[in-house]
Amino acid sequence: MALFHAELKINRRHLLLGMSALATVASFAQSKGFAEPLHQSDSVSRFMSVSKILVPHQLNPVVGHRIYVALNDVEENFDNTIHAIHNFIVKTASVDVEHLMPALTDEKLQNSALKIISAWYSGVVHGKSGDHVIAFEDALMYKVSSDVMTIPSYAKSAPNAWNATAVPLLNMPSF
Amino acid sequence: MPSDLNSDVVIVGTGVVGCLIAEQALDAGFSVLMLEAGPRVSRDTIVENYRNLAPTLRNHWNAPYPPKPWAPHLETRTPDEASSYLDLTGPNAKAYEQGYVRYAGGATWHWAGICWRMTPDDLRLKSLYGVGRDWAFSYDVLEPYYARAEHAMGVCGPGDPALQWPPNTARSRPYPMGPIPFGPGEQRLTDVAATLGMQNLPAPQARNSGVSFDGRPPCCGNNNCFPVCPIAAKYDAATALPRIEAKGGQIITNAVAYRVETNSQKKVAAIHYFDSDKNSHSVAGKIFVLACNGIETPKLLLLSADEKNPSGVANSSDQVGRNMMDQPKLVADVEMTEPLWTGVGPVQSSSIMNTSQGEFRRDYAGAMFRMENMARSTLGGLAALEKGLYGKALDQEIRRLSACTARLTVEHEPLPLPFNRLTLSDKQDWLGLSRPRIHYDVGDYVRRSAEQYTIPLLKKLAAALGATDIRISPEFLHSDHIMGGVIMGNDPKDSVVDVDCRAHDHENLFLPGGGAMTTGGSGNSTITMAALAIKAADAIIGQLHHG
Repeated sequence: MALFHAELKINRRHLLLGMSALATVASFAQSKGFAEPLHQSDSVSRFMSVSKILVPHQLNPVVGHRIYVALNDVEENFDNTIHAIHNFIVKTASVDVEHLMPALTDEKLQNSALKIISAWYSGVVHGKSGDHVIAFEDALMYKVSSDVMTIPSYAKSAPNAWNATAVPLLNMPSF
Repeated sequence: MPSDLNSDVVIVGTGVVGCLIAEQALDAGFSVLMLEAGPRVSRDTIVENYRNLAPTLRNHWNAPYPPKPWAPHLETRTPDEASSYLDLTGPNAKAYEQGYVRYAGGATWHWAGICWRMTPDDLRLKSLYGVGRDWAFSYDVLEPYYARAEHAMGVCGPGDPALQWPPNTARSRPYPMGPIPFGPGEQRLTDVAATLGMQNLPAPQARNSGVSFDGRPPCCGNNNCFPVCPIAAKYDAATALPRIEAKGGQIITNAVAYRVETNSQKKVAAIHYFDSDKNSHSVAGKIFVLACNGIETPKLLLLSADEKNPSGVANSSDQVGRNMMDQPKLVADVEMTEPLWTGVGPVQSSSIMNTSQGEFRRDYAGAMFRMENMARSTLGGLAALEKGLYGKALDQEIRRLSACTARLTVEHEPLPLPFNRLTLSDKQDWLGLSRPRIHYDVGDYVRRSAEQYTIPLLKKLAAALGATDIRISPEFLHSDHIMGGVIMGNDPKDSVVDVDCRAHDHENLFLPGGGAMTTGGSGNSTITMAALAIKAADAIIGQLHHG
């Protein structure tokens, strides 16, 4: 009987998680970006390709899609800007952001590149009519110190299980 | 006008003071009705509000608590917003930008949870040092109430008397839980401060340490005590509200008290309040408790002026709204070459208290020193992005700024000064009620302390930590410890309430909490407010039994 209850609990939990995931997918599908025609998806793909050079970390495509939608909303001709940065990357065969940014001398393109980097790290896109908050726990600025600090409001430790050890700065987490 | 409602005890305010009194009265068998100006909002809503803020707004503690139009409180996201409720004047107006929440649960939603007791000397400033006022009773009288408050709220703290505050002083009960461990930043501060004779103590804090307590889980170091503990490991009054209701207490939200009505026997007969549709109601009772903090309580008393009480209810002394106090605060943002790593554990977990005591208090204020233990990843991230960095350099700079920077804080002991005064503003709120106007000047006692004592010591402490850069705030800031406006004393001519927080002028009106504190000390005020609440509750129950 106890076993039956345990299974029931697990199944119910899985069911709830599944329902939650379905709800998330449904909500995402109804959002502006996901329902866009194919060429818009190409734009998102191009944005992700550019992002992967600008931000050399694992990038969540759902977050990327939301950043793209927000930047498209606040930046004029954002698709053209992404096209231009993408073409520049291909033309110069840039393989990382350290080589790309010094070569990217067009001030407008450089500013847009920095805005894309800022959005991935801070989780927010600033617009004239307000802020688009894209991500909280996926904001990359929290990953850089994730070996020591929690993301505020989340826990990374069991009760009283932290200690006073100061880890070296050079031990950069990989993310 | 007949009252709509009736209760043995009518309490205005649902913060820690109101909740402690409500529960004690219910446990003694009396009916309780509580009025709360604001709404009742769930913890998950507040947590989501916080997580959906832009990162630049996450250090505005009021930002996850949007006020209702009928129950405004301070908001600070823009200067216009900051001046839209509290009408502040005087040379240190900025130091009285008090943050509190007009939600069910009150300011306990975003308090730090720190519970420093006042010391025996703190209660005798006048007789020991010739400044301020003496309390109407000694520490020995207050001590048992401190212990009861610590157990009611679930305060953890050290068992070693040398690490307790006040140190090596008799306690009627130990803390219910042991201390919360230090993270690397607090340990480093402790070690460095010791070389300067400054003792950084583990803070007694109303946060569950290693175990569940009172139906709440243990702290897991979510490092978000303010603006909201996401798991209720920190005591907040919101967790007491369902228990109060289960015991039969009635809580009416969105009910803005605007008038205290007295009768010909100088007793309070009813509280009048507006609902969110601006309809007026009233509630009658035997005992009335105004526990809506040190600003809203005197405001309500002054709003209640009528022919019988021309200067306001409980104000024959002309002291209602005077002696407004808080610990004027200075902060120093420091940068070091070596990693300090604040942000591990609660946002505040220790303080240097021995700097608050000494013969020097004849001349200038004592003070508490502290290092904020907040995770600095948001600040570090935004500052590094501001520099236009990218790639590995960006990651390294975020990590460096997160680990190698800190904020040191010093909070000065205030004196009760009658010219620091709350009056009714000519500006009105959404309901047409006068907003609180507060004149605030930290006074020469605090200014001398900053010049001669605390700023030099702050610089020494920063240097000992290896600071390569130190930026001290150019003006005094607020600590959000509202005290004074209905000051306690034995003499009805120069004080508002007696030793039980009972109004001298009205025998069935109690005004417990920070407003009643005679002096403020250097530490956080809540545990003293809670102790006074429990003392008042004993008196209320005694009074109900006898009459």
